[in-house]
Amino acid sequence: MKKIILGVALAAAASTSMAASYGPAGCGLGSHVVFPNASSLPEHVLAATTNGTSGNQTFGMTSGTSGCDAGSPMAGVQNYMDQNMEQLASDSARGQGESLQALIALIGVDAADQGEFTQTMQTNFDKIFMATETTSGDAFASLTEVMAANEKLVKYLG
Amino acid sequence: MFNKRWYAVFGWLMMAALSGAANGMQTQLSTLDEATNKKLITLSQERAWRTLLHYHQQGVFAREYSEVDGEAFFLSPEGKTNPHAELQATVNAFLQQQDGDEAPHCRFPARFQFLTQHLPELKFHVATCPQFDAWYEKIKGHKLHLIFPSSYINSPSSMYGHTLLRLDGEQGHTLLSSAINFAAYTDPSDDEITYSIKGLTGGYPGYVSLVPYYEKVNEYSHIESRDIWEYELKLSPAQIDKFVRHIWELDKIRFDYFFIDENCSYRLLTLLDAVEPTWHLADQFQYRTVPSDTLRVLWEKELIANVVFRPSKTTLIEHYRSQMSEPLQMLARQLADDPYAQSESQTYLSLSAEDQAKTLELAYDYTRYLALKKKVSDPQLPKRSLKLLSLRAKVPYQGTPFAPIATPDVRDEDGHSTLRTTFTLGADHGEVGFRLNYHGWLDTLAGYREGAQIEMGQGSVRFDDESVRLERFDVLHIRSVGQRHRFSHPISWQVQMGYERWITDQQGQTQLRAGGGHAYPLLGGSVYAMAVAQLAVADRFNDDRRLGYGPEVGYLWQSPRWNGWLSAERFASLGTQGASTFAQASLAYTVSKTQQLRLQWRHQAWRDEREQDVRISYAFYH
Repeated sequence: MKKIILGVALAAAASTSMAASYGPAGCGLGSHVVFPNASSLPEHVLAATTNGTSGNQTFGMTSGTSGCDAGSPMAGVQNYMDQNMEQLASDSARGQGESLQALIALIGVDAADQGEFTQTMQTNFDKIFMATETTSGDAFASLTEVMAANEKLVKYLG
Repeated sequence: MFNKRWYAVFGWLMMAALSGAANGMQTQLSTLDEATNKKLITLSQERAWRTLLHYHQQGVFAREYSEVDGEAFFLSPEGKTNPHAELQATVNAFLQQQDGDEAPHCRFPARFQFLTQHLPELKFHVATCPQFDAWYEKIKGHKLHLIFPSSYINSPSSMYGHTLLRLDGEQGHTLLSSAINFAAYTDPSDDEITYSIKGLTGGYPGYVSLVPYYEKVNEYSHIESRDIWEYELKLSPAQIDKFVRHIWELDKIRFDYFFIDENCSYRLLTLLDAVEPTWHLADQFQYRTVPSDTLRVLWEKELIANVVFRPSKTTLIEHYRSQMSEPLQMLARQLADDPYAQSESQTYLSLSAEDQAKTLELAYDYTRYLALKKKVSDPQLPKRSLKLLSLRAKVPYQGTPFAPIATPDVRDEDGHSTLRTTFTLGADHGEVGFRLNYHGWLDTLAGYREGAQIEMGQGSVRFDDESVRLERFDVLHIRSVGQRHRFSHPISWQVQMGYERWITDQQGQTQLRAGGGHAYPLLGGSVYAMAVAQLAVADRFNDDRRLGYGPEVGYLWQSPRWNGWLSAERFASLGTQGASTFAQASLAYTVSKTQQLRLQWRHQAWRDEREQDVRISYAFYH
């Protein structure tokens, strides 16, 4: 019991410090919610015909997730969650799916613990994806808490 | 050997000393001996060097030049048009003892590798490149895939498609792999006409970019609902290494983007040509590049090892629906509309865990369809989506309750070629028609989406005893019917811009027409009704013009062998010009992948004139 409480405390500390060091300029804003408003960008009739991409996208070879590799592997996890909130929520609800598999690869969960991980995501769905206002930052913090409280998963928090 | 190197180093030191005042000036080394200079001339003519610089010859007599438009890509001011000057400048640059990310050695790692292999005697300086090395380590891959998000139902303009590449490395999951994408960076504030003109004339810059593959899957598979085909390419480790080095050279390098020819698919082929010049992939496309055609070329060259199908949301919803009974489907819809009350209902509670999982998942997918495709902005909708997931998480059933989807037998590139020539015979005339792009309702269906038509550059010339004349020219003719049912509510629509003659008075009219409406399933086909407005310019009208409006109703039935289409329209005129009527019935029989036979009846009425005819056609795809 003591260990678990310690784990929660550690995870909480870890998530706060991570939020501090990977704030706005680092690994994504952590501000995406599960179901953002559908984009209302004007769609050109010819847009899809012609493979045009509307401005303000990242371009170049290094723009992607750079800046997220430094530090703990969990930093990359936070960025991934920010970009995949909807897929993760839907996969977590059924306890299976490829966006969960990618999350497992990012965290580095061993084959032996993967079943435990997916089941944990399913049983703790309400805790991780509490409300439609839940941001990826919140979900990430809850995920670390849930993992910290699990004997098999706590070791992956690094 | 030692001599040459010494010369080179000495020369570099001399030059460095001489150019000390004019700091940063490009140094031209005169120390390369004659044999080397000769070798450079030969090497600069080699295709392998030119493909690395993206040289391409348009037509036989035109001068060869590089398609790269970003100046930073060239070390010589003449680099865009003179591959020899660029080679000299590159060799000179590589002989310099420069280090760090800005050194040419680091900016052009593929060129560096290529020239080291071909000119080992020059013993180029091996620079340290912290940024490139770190990046290379991160994305280094062992497999390259061509990714083709195919078109989606009810969006004919997506038929043109898009292609990108995916490089699988050590990331542990394909969703985390690197997607390499070439796209135009358009200005969202441009209006439709500016957009089209700029797009056709190279007014938008195109860049190669690298993002995690999940971004592209989210975009195409989940938001746009396009099925994705993933083609593993047969590349050796050395070729993949060269590819990775080469895309680094294109970092933030501008190519002018042309929608029709120098587009995403074309650019990816030139990337592959740079990796392996003997493939000659881009050479097959001089004037236009359609993504599915590029796949046909890759198949022909036997470069595809393996194909994986990644179904879209819409495809999955249809697949799920097909595995559920009518009462379950109805319950799914009720759950989507009100998950709070329905999840307490006796009907729901009495279901097995598997059936509960099925209904909740279909209900959830439907709410997301409403938000993403129908752009429903009701703030209650996301709450319902989340509630459905929350309910699903509590059902004691882990994993998907549905049977896996089978890979379709026919892929987009298995469809007919997009160029079409038609020979038509009527009672008193003949017609020869040509269509540049892409697919029409009557064309062979395999590889295309039901109910979707996009034709660009369709024209025909009519011959009879007295004259030869232009009969029709459609710049653009898009039609889309999508069937409405409990889980899908698409809008059917049409847009047409072009010139056509009427069969009553044989006069031509230039027209722009647009319409929208609904379509429903009927006897294996779609019955539709649309409200249409048409602006036409022709001598027959008062003031030579007319704004017509009215209904078009029709029935479209498509199958692998036979396509049938009935339609009728009656347009009133704004003002006092009277109404026009047009009706037609068409039947097309697919003889083979490249040939069709067609039969058409047409009827037209305007004021007191009335005319009809019957014609047969032979269509050939090439």
